[in-house]
Amino acid sequence: MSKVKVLIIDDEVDYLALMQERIKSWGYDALTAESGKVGLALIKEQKPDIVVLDYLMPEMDGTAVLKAIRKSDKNLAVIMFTAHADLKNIKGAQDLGVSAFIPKLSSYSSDIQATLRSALDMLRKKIIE
Amino acid sequence: MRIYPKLIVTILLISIFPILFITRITYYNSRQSLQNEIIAKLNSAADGEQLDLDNFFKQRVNDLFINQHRNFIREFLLIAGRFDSAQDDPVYVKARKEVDFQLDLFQATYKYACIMLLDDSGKVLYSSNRTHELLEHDKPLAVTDPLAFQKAKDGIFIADVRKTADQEYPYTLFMVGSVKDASDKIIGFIVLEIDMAKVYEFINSHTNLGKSGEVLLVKKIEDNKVLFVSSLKFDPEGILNRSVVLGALSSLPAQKAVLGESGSGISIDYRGKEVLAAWRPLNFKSWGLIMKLDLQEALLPVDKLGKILWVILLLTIISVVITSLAIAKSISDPIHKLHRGTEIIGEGNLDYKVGTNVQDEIGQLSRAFDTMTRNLKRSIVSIDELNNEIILRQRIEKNLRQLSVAVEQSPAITVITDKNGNIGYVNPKFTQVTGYGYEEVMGKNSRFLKTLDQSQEFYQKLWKTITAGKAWRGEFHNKRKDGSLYWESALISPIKDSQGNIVNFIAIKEDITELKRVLDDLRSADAEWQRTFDSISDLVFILDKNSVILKANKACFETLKYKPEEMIGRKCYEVVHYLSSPWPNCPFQQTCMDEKIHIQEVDDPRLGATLLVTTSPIFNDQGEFMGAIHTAKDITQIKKYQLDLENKNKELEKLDQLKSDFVSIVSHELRTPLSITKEGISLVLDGIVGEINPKQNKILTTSKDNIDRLARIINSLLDISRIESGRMKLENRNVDLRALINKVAASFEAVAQGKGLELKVILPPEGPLNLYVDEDKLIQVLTNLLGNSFKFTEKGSVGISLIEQETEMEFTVSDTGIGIGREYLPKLFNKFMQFERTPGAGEKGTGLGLSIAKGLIELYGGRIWAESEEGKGSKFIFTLPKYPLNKIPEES
Repeated sequence: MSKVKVLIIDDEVDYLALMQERIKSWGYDALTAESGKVGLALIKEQKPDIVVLDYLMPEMDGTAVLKAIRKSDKNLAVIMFTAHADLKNIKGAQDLGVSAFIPKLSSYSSDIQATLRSALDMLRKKIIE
Repeated sequence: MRIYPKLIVTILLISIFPILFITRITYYNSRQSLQNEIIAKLNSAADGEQLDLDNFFKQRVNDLFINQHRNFIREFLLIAGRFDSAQDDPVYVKARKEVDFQLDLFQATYKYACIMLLDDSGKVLYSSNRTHELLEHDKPLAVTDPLAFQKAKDGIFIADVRKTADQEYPYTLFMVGSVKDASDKIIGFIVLEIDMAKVYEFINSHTNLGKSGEVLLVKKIEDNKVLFVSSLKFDPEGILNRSVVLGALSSLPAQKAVLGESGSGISIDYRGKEVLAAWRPLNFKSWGLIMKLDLQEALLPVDKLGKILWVILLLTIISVVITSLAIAKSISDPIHKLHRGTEIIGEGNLDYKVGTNVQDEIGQLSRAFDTMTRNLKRSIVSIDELNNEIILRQRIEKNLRQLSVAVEQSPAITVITDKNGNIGYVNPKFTQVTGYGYEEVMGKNSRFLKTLDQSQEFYQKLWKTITAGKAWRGEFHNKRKDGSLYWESALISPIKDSQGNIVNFIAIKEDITELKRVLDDLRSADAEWQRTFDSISDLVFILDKNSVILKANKACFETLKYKPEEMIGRKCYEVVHYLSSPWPNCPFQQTCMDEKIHIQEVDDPRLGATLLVTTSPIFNDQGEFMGAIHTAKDITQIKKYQLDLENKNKELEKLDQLKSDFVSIVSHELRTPLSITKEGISLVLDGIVGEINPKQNKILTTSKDNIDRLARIINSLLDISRIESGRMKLENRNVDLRALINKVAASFEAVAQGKGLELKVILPPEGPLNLYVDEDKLIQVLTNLLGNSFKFTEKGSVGISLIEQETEMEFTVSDTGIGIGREYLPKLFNKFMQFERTPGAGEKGTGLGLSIAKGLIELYGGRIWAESEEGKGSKFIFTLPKYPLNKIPEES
């Protein structure tokens, strides 16, 4: 069984690199994309299991990317990252089927890990079903 | 009630009642006497009829008796018995002829319906009616009427009235008698049949009883009944048919007659009608006779009389009423006139005449009254004249007295001199003012009072004027007895005799020393007022209510560049606004309307200045509006300052907004690098990119803690910025406070244990504790307060409690920590307020927690304050209203 593929889409290249390291350390296969466009292309090409999406991006923001994803795939697990403290404000995204929101300034990287795990659990269940 | 109606009523009572009474008596008397008269007539007629009828029947029985014993009848019966069937025998024929002749004649003479001879068995041998004879021959009486036959054998039998088939004699009554031979043996019978029509005709012909009158025959029959045997006027079928039982309520005269009574009176006949009747018994077969006529008909003449009486009565009453009206008027009119006259005279008009020409007592009374009034008037006039004389004298006397008293007590000094100026009279006031006694000055020349202050010419002019016969007016500066000086104003007039020669002078003078002093004071006060008025830098003028300027201060004249005479007395709008009518926006116009103070800013282009104009109303002592004080203050400079200040404020507001925006943007922008840095350090710390030694670990941990602190500061700054800019979003819902406080306390459990402190939670014992609030924000506030308490407390306890008040919830977080200095308490909730009380221990604060808490609580309309004593601990209390008055902004 191949490793779980996680795609991280974030315009902050520095952050992207760090997150890739972090996610890899948890034993996942980590892909990165520095814009929404690249991300969407990678989703088509690599078919990741989970997408970690930054909310605030130039050109195409998180919500726009999410809309584009939902056009072709209704079930793909998407975790929204945001620097915004008021996560619940991003209502449109919630309606589009986001698995979880994670604040960027979360003190605990374990939060991120736990979120990824639960997203994966949901994914597995769906596959089994 | 007035006399007129009283008279009418009295007259009517006196006249109408007797008339009514007499009319009624007359009517009833006539009725009774007519009734009596008719009954008497009825009685006498009935008596005659009774006698006649009895005689008639007696006669008929007598007829029978005679014929029983007539020889030709005996012979015929004997012969007929012998020649039973041989009727052509000459003996029989002869006897028969004799019978025919004799009996036919008898029948015709006495008008019998029929006469018959029967043989001893009752067979018809002869009948005056020959047809009858043939028909009835073989029907013997013994068979057809055995009772009659049997009774006839004993002598005579009289049958009852019967109806026959014979049209000529409808009602008959037959009698049978036996005929005997010499040896007293019955040889046959004779029958006489009476025609009842004759009887009826007979009884009816005897009386004249009017339309309803009747004469009736009745007889008693079996079953105690009474039968009518004569024809009835009102019941054609009644004869021999109508009967009445004895004791019934009708046919009373008939019942009485058959019972043998004889009488008369008002009774009830067979129709049940009231009748006047007489009834008599008859000897013949115990029949009864009744004569009667209807009461109504009998009394008809009286009723007619009654009607006539009523008409007469009515006419009488009408004439009585008219007469009484006239009489009452003739009596009451003069009385009324007299009454009116006395009223007029009573009001004081003694010239009024009551007099009437009426010759009766009332007329005499009215004339006597006029005489009395005339005499009264005469006496009043003479009294009036006397009174006038007295009043005139009294008035003169009073005037003299008043004049004398007036001069004596006059507040004016009065001096009378002769034509040379020698004093003849001074009044007490003179003595009082000058100090000279009356006796001292008598005969002195009045010039002794004068001083040298006034020139010789002054006095010469005075003398010239008064000796010319004119009055002089002026002021003297004189000397008192004690040498002091005084001012007096004087009016000196010459007094002339009847020829026009001057005989005296009278001087009326007044001490005006005090008045002069007051006037001086007033002048200086006025000057002072004018100086003050002119010193006012504002433009002040006084207006009367017609906008005329009465007074204006120096500032006015100078600023508006007018001379006083160009402003005073002119209309303010002409002078100030160059208008010919009032300027409608002028506050003075408003003051004129509502009599109140009005203040208004006016830009005056002529002066190039902004003026603050105040118009204050002026009222006189009676409270009437007189005008206004118009004050104009040049506020051009003040306006300029004000404008500058407003502009500065606007700039400051802009800056504040900019600051808020700046904080928000910066905070957001700070987050990204911060999170990257943190993530980087975390990666190294977590050993993901290789092993690190303990020293590196310690350094990196410190870095990471400070990044977290920086993140907290940024979040706090964002909160502050949101609260201050009003963009803080609240998610209110119904929150169970009991559960919330327990949850917050639980999160501090570990800290408490770590520091060895007691954590006390004090909640009301029971009942729900709910509040409509943003749960996260409330947790944020409580966590901040508890965090502070734990941070500054080393031993003892930290407490959280909640009290439900009437309108609000009161939260208290207390500790037994180091407390807060008195000087810090007022600044506690300011931004970035940190105290020198945290020697390194614990998480470093942002300095924004209490400020955020205060901001959040105030968003809900609550309050927060602190109580503390240094060294003993602190208490933070805040309240949240249960029913917020204002709508709290919520997330939509």
